[in-house]
Amino acid sequence: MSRLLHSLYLIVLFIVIIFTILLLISPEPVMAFEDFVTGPFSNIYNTGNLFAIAAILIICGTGVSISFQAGLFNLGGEAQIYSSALVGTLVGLALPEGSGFFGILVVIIISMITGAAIATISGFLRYRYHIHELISSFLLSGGLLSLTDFLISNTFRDSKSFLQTTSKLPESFYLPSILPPSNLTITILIACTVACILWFWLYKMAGGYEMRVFGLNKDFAEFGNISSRRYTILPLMINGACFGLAGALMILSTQHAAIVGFSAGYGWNGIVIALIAANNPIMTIPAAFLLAWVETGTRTAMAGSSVSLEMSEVIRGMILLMITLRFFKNRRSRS
Amino acid sequence: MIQSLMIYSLPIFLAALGGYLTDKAGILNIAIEGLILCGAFITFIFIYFLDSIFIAVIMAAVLTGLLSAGFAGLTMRFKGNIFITGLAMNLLIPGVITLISKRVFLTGGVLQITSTIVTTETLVLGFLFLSCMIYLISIYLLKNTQAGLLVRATGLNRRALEVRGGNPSRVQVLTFLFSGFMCGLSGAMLTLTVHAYVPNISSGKGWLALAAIYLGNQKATGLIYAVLFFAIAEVLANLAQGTFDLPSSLFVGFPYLVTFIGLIIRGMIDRTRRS
Amino acid sequence: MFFLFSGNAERSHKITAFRTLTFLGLILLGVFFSSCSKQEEPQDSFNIAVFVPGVVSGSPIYEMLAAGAQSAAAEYEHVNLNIIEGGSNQGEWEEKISSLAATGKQDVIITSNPAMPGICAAVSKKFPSQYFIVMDGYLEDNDHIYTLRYDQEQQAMLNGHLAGLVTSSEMEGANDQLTIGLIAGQEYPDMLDLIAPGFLAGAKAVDDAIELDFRAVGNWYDAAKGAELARAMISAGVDVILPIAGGANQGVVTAAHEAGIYVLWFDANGYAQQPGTVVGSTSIQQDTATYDTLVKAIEGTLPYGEAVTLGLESGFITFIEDDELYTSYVPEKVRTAQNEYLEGLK
Repeated sequence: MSRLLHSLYLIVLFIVIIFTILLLISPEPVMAFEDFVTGPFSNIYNTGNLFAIAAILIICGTGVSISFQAGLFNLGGEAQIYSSALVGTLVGLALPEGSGFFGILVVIIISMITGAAIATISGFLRYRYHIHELISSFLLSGGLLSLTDFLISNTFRDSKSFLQTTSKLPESFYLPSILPPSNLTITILIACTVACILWFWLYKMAGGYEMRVFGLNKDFAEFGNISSRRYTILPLMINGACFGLAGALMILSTQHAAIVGFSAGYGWNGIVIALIAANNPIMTIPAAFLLAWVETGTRTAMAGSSVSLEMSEVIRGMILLMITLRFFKNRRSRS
Repeated sequence: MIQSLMIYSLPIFLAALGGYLTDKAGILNIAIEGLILCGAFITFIFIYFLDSIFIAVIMAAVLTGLLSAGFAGLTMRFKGNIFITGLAMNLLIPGVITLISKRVFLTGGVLQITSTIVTTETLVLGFLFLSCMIYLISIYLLKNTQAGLLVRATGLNRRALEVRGGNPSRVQVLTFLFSGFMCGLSGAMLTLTVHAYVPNISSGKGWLALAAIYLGNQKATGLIYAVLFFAIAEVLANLAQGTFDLPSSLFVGFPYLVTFIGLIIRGMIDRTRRS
Repeated sequence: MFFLFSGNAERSHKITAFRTLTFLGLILLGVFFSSCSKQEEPQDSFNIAVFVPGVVSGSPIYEMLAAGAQSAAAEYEHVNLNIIEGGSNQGEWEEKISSLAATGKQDVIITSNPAMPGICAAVSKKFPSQYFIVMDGYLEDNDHIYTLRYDQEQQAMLNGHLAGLVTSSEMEGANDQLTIGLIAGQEYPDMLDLIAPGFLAGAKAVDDAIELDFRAVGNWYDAAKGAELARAMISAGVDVILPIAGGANQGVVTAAHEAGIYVLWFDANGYAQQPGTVVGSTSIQQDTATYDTLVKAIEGTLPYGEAVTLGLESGFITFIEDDELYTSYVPEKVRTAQNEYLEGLK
C-alpha cells in the first residue's frame, strides 16, 4: 500500500514538473500538456506507432537485461542494431523478390547472427585478454557505426533515392500490419514472446540461474564449477542477437530499407529500460511502454502545438532524470 | 602538426582527467559529453556579456562543476541510478542550451564571438600549461595525500569506508565537482579555438574521453598515452582524406577502429607477459 | 558496479518498475476521461504545417523556408501556421510527417529537401487526401504534391568560377598552387553528383589545370573537425575553400582566417561571417519562392502535380555582387571576370 502511495506522490510530482516546464517554455502550456499526455491515443496512427516503438524497445531492453544480469556491460548496442539491420537488408535484397515468409525468416536470422557476432567479439576479448567489454564494445561500435554509414551512403546506396539509403525491400518482406496506416506490425507479439522466453530461461532454468550467480559473484561461481567462459560470452551473444532482432524488425516493419542513422538512440534506450526494469525481462514491457509513450507524446505535442524539438528533448531528459530518483526515505533499505 | 595534435587532444584530455577521478571514486561520470557542451556555452555567454576570456574560462569551469556536482548529489541523495541520470543530462543540456540561446540570442545556431581574442598559439600554450599543472597536482594529491586515499578507498570498498565513519557519497560528489570543472575547461577551450559556440560542439569528444580512461588501463599515465593515441589517429585521418583517393566518410570511424585494434594488441601483450 | 542489483538494491529498484506500471495506468485513465471531452476545430480556417527536415537555426535554407511561410501566413487572418522541426534522423522523417498528416487538420504540409518528394509520395499513399508542397525537391505527376527546385549545379559553378579566379589571382592569400577546396558535411547525392562537379567545372572554366581537394566532416556540427580539415587542406596547398557543412562552416572560417586564405559561401549572404576572408557568396531566394508558392496555395490556385525548376535566369539564384564587403576586398579584375561569367550563364 505504501508503495502505491509513493508512486502516486511521485506521479503527481512528475505531472507538476512536466507542466511547470511546459509553462516556462511553451507559449500554450495547457494545450501542449494535453497533446503530450493524450496525443499518442488521439488517433490510430499515433497509438499504433506507440506500440511499434515499444516493441523494439522491449527487445532491446530484454537483451541488455541479460548481459547486466551476468555482470557485463554492453555499450555497443547502437552498432549492433544498425550494422545487423544493414546486413539483414542486404541479404533480403539478394533473395528472390517473392520470398515471403521464408525471406523474412532469413533476414531475421541473419541479422540476429550478425548482432550476436559483433557482441561476441567483446565477450571473447573479455574472457581471453581481460579487455573490459564496456570499452571494447563501445569502441567497436564507434567504428562500425561510421563504417555502416559509409556502406549505406556509398557502396550500397540506392542511386535513385535522395535519402542516404539502400534500395527498398520488395513488399513480400513486409511484416503483416496490425493497425493500418500506422507502423504497427506483429513485432509487438514477437517482442512480448522474446521477453517471456528470456524471463523463463533466466528465472526458471538452470542456465539462467548459473548466469545470475556468475553475475553476482564470479569467484563463488568458479567455486561452484560454473564456466566463466560460457557466461562471459553467452550473455553478450544473447544481447547482441536481441539487438540484431530489433534491427531486423525495424527494417521489416517500419523502414523497409536501411537508412543512414535510422536506429540512433535505441541502443542507449535499451540500457535505460533494462535499468528501469531492474534487469527483469518481464518488467521491460511496462518500462518500454513508458519510454515509447514519452517518445510519441513529445512527437504529437510537437505536431499539435508549439512545443519545439529542443523542448521535447528537455521533457525527455527531465523524465529520465526523475525516473530512478526516490524522493522518500526507504527506511528498510537503510542497513 | 603539433598544434593540431594539441587542439584535438587537450579538450579530450581535460575531460578524461576529470572522468578518471570519478572512476577512481567508483562511479564513472557518463554525462561528460553534455557537460563539455555546457562549459562551451557558458564560456560564450561570459565572453559575450563581460568580454573577458579569463572570467569566462573560470566561470565555465566553476558553473559546470557545480552543475555536475548538483546532478550527482541529487542522484545520490535520492538514491537514483547515476547511469540513467547521466544519460538524462546528456539529453537535457543541449535542449536547455538551445532554449536559452533562442531566448537570449534569438537563434539556436552558431553563436560567433565578435570581439578579438587571443591567437591559437597562445591559447594552446595556455591550456597546455593549465592541463599539465592540474594533471600533476591532482595526481600528486590522489597518490600521496589523505584526501587522495579517501577517493581511492571509496572506489575500492565503499562499505568499509562507511563502517569506519566516512561519507563515500560526499567524496563521490566532490569528484563529480572536479570532473564538471574539467569539462568546463574542456568546453571553454573548444569555444575559444573555434571562436564561436556551435551546437553540438563537443561532437563525441566526451565519449572519446570515457574511452581514453579505459584504454589507459585506468592509470594516470595511461591516460596521456590514450589521448595522444586518439589524437594522432584523428590527425592522420584528416591528412589521409586528401592524400588517398578514398571516400572521405570512410575515415570518420578510423580513430575508433585503430584504438580498438590497439586495445586488442595491448591485451595480447599483457597475456603473453602473464604466462 | 552500479548496474548490478542485489539484495536491498534490487528491492528498491523493483519499486521503480512498479512505479512505472502505476504511472502507465494513470495515463490510460487520463486518456479515457479526456477522450470524452473532444471539441471541434472551426472549419473555415486554413492550416499550414511547415515540416523542417532538420533544425531551423543555423541552416539558411530552412530559415528562409520558415521566414517565407511566416510572411505568407501573416497576410491572411484565417491562416494558422505551425512549424515543426523533424531533427536530423532521416529514418524518422516519414513517421513524423505521417503523424502530421494523420491529424487530418492540415490543409497543406510544406517542406524543403531533395529527399522529401519521395517521402511525401509514400505518406501520400497512406493519407491520400493530404496535400504537400516540397521546396528544393523534384517530383512529377503526383496530383497532391507540388515541387519546386533550384539549379544547384549552376549555383556551385558560380562559386567554383570565383574559386578558380581567386586561386589563380595575385591576391595576398593566394599561392602558386592551383588547388581549390570543398568541405562537405556529408557525402550525399546532390553533393557528389551536382555540387562538387559543378564547383570543379566552374573553376576549370578559368584554368583547366585547377584541381579539387574534397573532404567531408562526417556530420553537420563538428566545428573543431571542420577547422582541422581546413588546416590539413591549407598545408596541402589549398588557398580557397567552399564549406557546405552547417555549423562546421564556422571552424573552416576560423582556420582560414588564421592562415590568411579565402572562403566562399553557399546558399545565403556570408560576407559578414568574416570580412576579408569570405570573398564570394551565392544565394538562393527560398524565402520569396516559399512566400509565392504558399500564397497560391492559400488562394487555391497552386497547380498540384507540377514540378518547377528555377535557374539563374529566374533570379532565384544569384551571385551576390553588390555587397560592400565583396567590392572592397576583391580586386576589380577578379570581379569583372566573375561578372562576365555570371552574365554568360544567364
